[in-house]
Amino acid sequence: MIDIYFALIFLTGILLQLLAGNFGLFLPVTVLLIFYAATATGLFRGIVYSLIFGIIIDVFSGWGFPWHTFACLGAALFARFWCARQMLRPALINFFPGMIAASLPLLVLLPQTIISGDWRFLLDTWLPQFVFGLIAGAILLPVTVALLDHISERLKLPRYQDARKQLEPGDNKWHR
Amino acid sequence: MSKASSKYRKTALTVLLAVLSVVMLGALFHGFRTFFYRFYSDFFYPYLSISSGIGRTVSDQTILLRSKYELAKEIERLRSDNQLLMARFTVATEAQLENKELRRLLAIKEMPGYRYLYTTILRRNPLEWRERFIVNYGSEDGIKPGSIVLAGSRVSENDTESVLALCGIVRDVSKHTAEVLSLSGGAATIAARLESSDAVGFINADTNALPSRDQSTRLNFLPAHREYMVGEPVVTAGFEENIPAGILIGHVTEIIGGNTVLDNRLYVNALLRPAADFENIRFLVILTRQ
Repeated sequence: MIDIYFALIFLTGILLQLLAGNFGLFLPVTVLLIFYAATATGLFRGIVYSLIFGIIIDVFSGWGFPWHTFACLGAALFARFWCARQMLRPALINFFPGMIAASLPLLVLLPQTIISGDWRFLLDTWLPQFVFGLIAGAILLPVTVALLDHISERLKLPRYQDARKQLEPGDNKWHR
Repeated sequence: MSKASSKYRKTALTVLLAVLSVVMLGALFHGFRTFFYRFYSDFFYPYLSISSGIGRTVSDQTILLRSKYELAKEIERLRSDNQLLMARFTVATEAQLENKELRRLLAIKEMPGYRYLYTTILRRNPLEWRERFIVNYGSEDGIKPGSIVLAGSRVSENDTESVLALCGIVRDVSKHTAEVLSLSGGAATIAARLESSDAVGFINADTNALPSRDQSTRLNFLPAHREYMVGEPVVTAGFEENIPAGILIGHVTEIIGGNTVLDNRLYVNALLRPAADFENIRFLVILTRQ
């Protein structure tokens, strides 16, 4: 049930990301949903979702290398880190991890761009999309948390804001 | 001590496994990219076409924001353009039939014609906005790798109307979609001819060149010791099997020195400004061999 629910959420998120892409906007919806799912359901599920849906978004975007997949894996690991060290309530406080998670898909491209010396791409395309991604992530993650937690509560599924409670001090479990 | 060394061994093993996983994932993805692209594009085609359908609906609604007078004027202009094009087409068809008959009489092999497919963009990556995009037609519609894609040109002060100009080449094709490499991306290589000086060069033939600052495209291996003019039109040379000659590519903006291995003062390079408007591409025409 939980996997079907998240599969539908991810497919909707990928559709939104592709729609925004057709209008020239890089909206990092998939990586934010991975962050949410990894926090709510655990690191193991987060990694599995990253591999499946990261590859899907990479193929749809036409990349020759799975950049987005690695960004999603990074978001899943960051979710584990954030869950163990920070507060998850209220939803509004999550603008900061939203910014970090949203920046990951573009940060993975940065080393390759700098090495290739393509400064035109860096200044014309990468930087504006990066700034937009930070703002979008800061706004989207709290909204996503509030919305999906509301739905999860009705469906009796794990919530993002309750994830910290399920984590005992020194807990090394990968999944719940 | 043994506890510490065991911890270090575990950490090293974890790091090694992570690095190996990254390398394997990248290699597998790269190796199976064509399979993944075709499978996911065909399997998820109805799902993917939703986003382009929504985008098209939103764009179409913006037409309704214009006044009735403007729309009526636009319709009149399009009607007159249509009639002019129909007249030119009739003359061109006559010339084609005459050419066919002459070839038959002289026992020269007939050149197969082209099919024209009118399509729209299905998906575009914002990080590769000018380099690559996916269109809504695929192998089921007759598109093959190497087919050329034409788009409307930029309309400047000196032009009265937009013409169709070369936009890119089809690289990969699935059942319902095709991936197009645009000229400005640097990956599409085409033979080109300068109309005034009748010299032939190759677009994007220098793979080591860095992308230019102002999105100009490189034209390599032009013969040296010839006079070239800035603003000279550049058209397709027709050397490729799927690309007819004479299609507008762009205009020369600068002649620069050679920087290739073969730079023995035999060749010079040029920068050309593509005629196709890559920022505002919406409707495309794809040519495929019959």
